[in-house]
Amino acid sequence: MNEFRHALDAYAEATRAPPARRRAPRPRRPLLAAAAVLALAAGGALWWPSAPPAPVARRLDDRGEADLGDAVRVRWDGSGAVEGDARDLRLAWEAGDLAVEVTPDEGVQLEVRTGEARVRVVGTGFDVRRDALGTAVSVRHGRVAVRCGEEPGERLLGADEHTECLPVTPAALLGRARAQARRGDPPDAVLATLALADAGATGPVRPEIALLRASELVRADRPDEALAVAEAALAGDEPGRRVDLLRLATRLAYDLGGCARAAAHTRALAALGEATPCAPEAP
Amino acid sequence: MTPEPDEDALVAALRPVVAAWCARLGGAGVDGEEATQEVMITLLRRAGSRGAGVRLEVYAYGVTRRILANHRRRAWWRRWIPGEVDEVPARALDDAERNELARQVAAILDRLPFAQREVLVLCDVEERTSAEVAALLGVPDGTVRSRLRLARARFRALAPAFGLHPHPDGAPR
Repeated sequence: MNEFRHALDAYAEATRAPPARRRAPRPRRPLLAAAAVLALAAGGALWWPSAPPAPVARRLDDRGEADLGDAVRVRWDGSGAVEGDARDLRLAWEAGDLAVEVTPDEGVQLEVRTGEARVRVVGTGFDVRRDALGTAVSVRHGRVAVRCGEEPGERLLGADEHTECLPVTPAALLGRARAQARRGDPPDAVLATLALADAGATGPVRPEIALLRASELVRADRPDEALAVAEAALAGDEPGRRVDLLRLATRLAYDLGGCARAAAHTRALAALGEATPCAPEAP
Repeated sequence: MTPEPDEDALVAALRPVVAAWCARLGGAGVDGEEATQEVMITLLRRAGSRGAGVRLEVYAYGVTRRILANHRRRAWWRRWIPGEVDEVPARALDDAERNELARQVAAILDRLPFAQREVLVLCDVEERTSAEVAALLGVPDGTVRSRLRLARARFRALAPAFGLHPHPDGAPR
C-alpha cells in the first residue's frame, strides 16, 4: 500500500487523538507574580550580560513551560515554535493555548504570529488561543498591539481586553465554519463564514465548502437552495466529496420531486454500488 | 480480583490509543469522542476484572470493538437524513489537500466490510505487524494476512471512484 502512503498518513494524522486541551492557565497569584517580576528585574540589574544575547530556537509542543531568556516566560498547551534571541523573540503559534509573561522595562521585544494574527508586546502578560475559529488574544496586564491578517492598522489592547482575528485562507475559514456548526451557531452565521471562504477558494476545498453550505441550507430549511448548491458542485471539476454530495442531492431531489427528480443522481449512486429508494440494487 | 494499584493509571494512559481506534473504526455517523468516553468508563469500571495473562491493550481493544459495534448499529438509521453529513476524520488539518486525502481514505474505509477495515487500519494506518494485530483480534496470523490482502485489493479498486490516486512516486516515504 505504499502507493497510498501519502493518503494513509494524512488520515492517520487527522484521526490521531489531539492533546487534551485546557483553558489558558490563569495567571499566578498577583503577589507571586509581582515578586517574580521584581526578582527578574533585580537579577537583570546585577548581571546584565555584555555578550550578545543567547540565540533561541526550539519547538513548543504538547504541554510545558519554559523561560526564554531572562525576561520571558511561556506556558503552553498546543504547538508552535520560537526563534530569535533573548532580547528579540518571534513565536510562531500553530494551535492551542499559549500564555506569555514579558518582564517590563527589560528591553525585550516579542512577537507572536499565527496564521491570522500578529501580536507585538513589550512588557506584558497575555494569552493567545489559536483554534479552528481563529486567534483570540486576551491581555492580563500591560498592553499589546494586535494586527489581524492584512489589515493596515494595529489594535491596542490593555488589561482585561481581548480581540479575535478571523482566519484568512479559504481552508481555514472552512475550518471556522465547521467549528461554528459544531458549536451550534445559527445557520446564517455559518453561511456567512462559508461565503467568505468561497470567495477566494480554488481546488479541493471547493467541494468541501459546497457540502457544508448545502448542509447548513438544509438546517435553515431552504432545501431547494441546498439542492442547487449540491448540484452545482457535482457539475464542477473537483472530484472531492462526490459521494457525499450525491447522497445529499439524491435525498433532497427525492424529497422535492420524487424518483423522477432524483433519477440522474440515483443512477450515479447505483454505479458506485449504493442502493436508493428509487434505484434497484446495484449488481 | 482486586485491581492493581496502578491499573487505573494504565487504563487512563490508553486513552489516546482508544480515541484513535474509535475515530478510525467507528465509521460514518459514529461520534468518536462519545464512543471513546464510553470505552474509557467501561475499562475503568472493570479494572481488575480482565483475566490473568490478558494484556491490557488486547482487553481494551475487545471492549472498544464491542462498543463501536453498538454505536454503528445506532448510527445506521441516520444515514439518509438530509444534512446529516459525515464529518470524518475528527480533526481538520491545516492543509486542505491533506484534509481531502484524509476524507477520501475515510470514505473508502466506510465501504469496506468491518473485518477488512479493521485489519487495514491496524496494519496500514497504525503500522502494526500482522502478528501484533493477530494478538489484538485473537485470530491466527494467517487470518490477518488474508483479510489484509482482500482489504488492500478492495481499497485499490474503490480508490478511483473517490478521487484518490496513487502517489506518482509510488512509495513517497
